[in-house]
Amino acid sequence: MAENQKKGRNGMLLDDDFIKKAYTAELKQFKASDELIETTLEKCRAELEGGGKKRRSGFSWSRFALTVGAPVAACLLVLFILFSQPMGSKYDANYAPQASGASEMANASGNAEAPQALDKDSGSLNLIFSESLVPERTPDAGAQAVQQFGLTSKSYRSPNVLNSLDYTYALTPVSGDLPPETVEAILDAYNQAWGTRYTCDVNKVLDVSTLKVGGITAEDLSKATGFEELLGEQAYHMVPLQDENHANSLLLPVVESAESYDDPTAAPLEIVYSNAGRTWLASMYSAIPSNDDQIAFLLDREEHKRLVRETYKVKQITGYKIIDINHGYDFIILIEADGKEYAIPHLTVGSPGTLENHKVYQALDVLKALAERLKTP
Amino acid sequence: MAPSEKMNEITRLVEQYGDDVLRTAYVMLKSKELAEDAYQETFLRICRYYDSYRKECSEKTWITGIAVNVCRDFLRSAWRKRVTVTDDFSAHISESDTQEMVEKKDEKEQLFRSIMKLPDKYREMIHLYYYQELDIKEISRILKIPGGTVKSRLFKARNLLAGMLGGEANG
Repeated sequence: MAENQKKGRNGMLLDDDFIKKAYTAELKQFKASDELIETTLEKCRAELEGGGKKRRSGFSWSRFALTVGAPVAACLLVLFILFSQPMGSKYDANYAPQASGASEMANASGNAEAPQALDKDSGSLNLIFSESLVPERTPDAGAQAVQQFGLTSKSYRSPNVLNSLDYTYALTPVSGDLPPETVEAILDAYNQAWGTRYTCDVNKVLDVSTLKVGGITAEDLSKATGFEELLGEQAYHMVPLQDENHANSLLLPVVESAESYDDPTAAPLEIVYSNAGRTWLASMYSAIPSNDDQIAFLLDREEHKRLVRETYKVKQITGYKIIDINHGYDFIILIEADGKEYAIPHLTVGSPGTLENHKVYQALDVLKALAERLKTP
Repeated sequence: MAPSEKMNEITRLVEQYGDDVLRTAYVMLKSKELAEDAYQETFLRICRYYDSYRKECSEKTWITGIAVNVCRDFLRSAWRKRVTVTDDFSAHISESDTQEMVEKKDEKEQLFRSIMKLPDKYREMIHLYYYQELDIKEISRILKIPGGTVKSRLFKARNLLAGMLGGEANG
């Protein structure tokens, strides 16, 4: 420990040794009580038992990718995309050919070359794809690909559980800021992958909260007194992409990863960007198509607040969150004002049921309506 | 690893690092109650992510990193009520203490209170460096900031402390 000395008013010598000894001595009076230790161990035991059951039927992307390697990871990536869509959704027979097309593309990626690595702004950007994986390079290729993969709204059936995009494999529940250079690097990677020219306003990136892992049932919704208690730990960012006509057309999810992935082929998604000790992941296949009006509304934070102020005459807005309730397609805009929760449904796929899209409600009413919707076959 | 073996490992980690986790959480969150919540959450996450620990860093760095992330989550929670520095954690002076002991306790307490009043980013730096005895590289890894930033924050933290105690920088 380098020696540093600074002197205080009363002659207190602030050297490293004094700071360390004095600070440590004060802090050591603070100890975990037996009760706290006991409770914590009980919770851990329950977690391990529950987690063990999950693991028998579950799937760990990062571990699997590390074990099997890039060629197989590419195939699994497609499976992940297919199975990570809204719970309970199944592909209509009409969409089978597209799904098959996806498999062919995944097989093509089995011959993928080594990941390309680019330097950008001293960060490292890795794209795990090969030319053979990119089907067509047209301005709309990205959106077309999303549709080819059967990811359009038409391919969904009503889920009986609300669920968010699952990024638990990123192993970081913390979602900090998304620096502009990261947005630009990931956008470059996406454009390079599809030969597109999407642009993005780095100031309009959304921070998205997710629901608890495993999803939210009608019963959970009925019992909840607010949305906050239904939220999980993971969060991610949604980057709005504009086409060459400056119309919003895609939402690209980006998640920060606790793993740095020195070997990018081990990463669960194919766009890996690292800078200043942080790592972000995105997938060239996971951009979510929407229309300009829908995305514009979702991005218009001031309009959401205005709606709450005007409808409920609230005085002070103290909280604002966007919650993913359907794999990046449907959201609840949650606003806390004057100690109450208000919610604005932004549903692009799911049936609004008794709710009216883009109208502000008291959160409890939305919880009830969503619960009813889930109960309806 | 079988769940029972894993549970044994978790128990060992709780025993070995539990107090450190609680202290880190207390320093970051400045509330005993929140620190206890963060303590539980930290070990739950350790259970969840145990298999992902690849021993690329020391066990202590890994666990401290998780604790710091948990605390940051708590701090970032937009609707979490703001808490103020609690006074119930200061050293108590007993009647049997000599004048010299009282002065020394005063000094320590004064220093501790000053540290607790530092802005978050400087307080966590002092804690990781002086209490956890982590080096610049380890702190950089945990906080996900460059080593240069760690050094400059540490320097600034020491200057702030000297300033708060009414002193001047000597070195």
